[in-house]
Amino acid sequence: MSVTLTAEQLEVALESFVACPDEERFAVLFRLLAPQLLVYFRARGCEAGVAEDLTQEVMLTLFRKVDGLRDRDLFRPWLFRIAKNALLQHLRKQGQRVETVALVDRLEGVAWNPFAGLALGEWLACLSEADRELLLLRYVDGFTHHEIAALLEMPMGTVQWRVFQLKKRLAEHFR
Amino acid sequence: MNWEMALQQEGARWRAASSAGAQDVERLLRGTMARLGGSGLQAEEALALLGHLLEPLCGRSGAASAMATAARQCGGVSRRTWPRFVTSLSELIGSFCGLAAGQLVGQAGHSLEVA
Repeated sequence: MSVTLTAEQLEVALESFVACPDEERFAVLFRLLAPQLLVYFRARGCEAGVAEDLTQEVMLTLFRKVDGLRDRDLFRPWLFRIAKNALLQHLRKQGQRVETVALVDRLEGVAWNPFAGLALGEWLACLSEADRELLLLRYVDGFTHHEIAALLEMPMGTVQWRVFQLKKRLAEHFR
Repeated sequence: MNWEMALQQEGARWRAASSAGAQDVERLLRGTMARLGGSGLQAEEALALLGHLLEPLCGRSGAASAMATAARQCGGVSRRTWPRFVTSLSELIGSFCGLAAGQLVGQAGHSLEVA
């Protein structure tokens, strides 16, 4: 599923940056990825200023740690794991209790509901936090099942099955 | 209802409504580059520069008062709050000194990179 960029565009930009990590190639990558990161943070309740700051932090980490990327096919899950950790760290700084490493548990404390008043908000509201996160990854962030599996570290079949079950549950709930 | 299609459409609609504009992305990129290079102004330096611009428009005390009000409105001045601060300040100056002055302050403020 394409969001704002094609896999090919990203692959070319990433390959170019990894081969020669200079600022010009970083800028190309930044223009492709920053809008997606902003959407990621906004969809998880961050205010605009916080979303921008976290996006910059993630992109700085990308610039500095791109050497740590082992599998380029799993670049987006790698990047969004950094994003998830940045968000968790931000929430910790905000003083929210952190008892588990599961991001979804942390989002209960976010005051702003980005989907308030929308059909999507109504649908997400009847799901658990974990299920909601799965649908956000799939339909708002636009990840493939393969990418979600890598990001959440679970088998792809499980991801596909859970997404299928969630749609079925929504269909029953809003019949 | 086809739930696959409905979820895709709603997701796409929300993304489109909440996506950052090209100008915002470029501003973020400049800020990130400034942080990479260790450049960029400290918030105090940026405030001082804006103060110099404001004083001829609304006097020293007027400038200080407008900046203090804008800072209060956005919860303090820092790298994170700088864009909101500038927008508030621009609106304040616009209401006291005219739209053109407000726009000038807004453009000048948003062009500053705060590290």
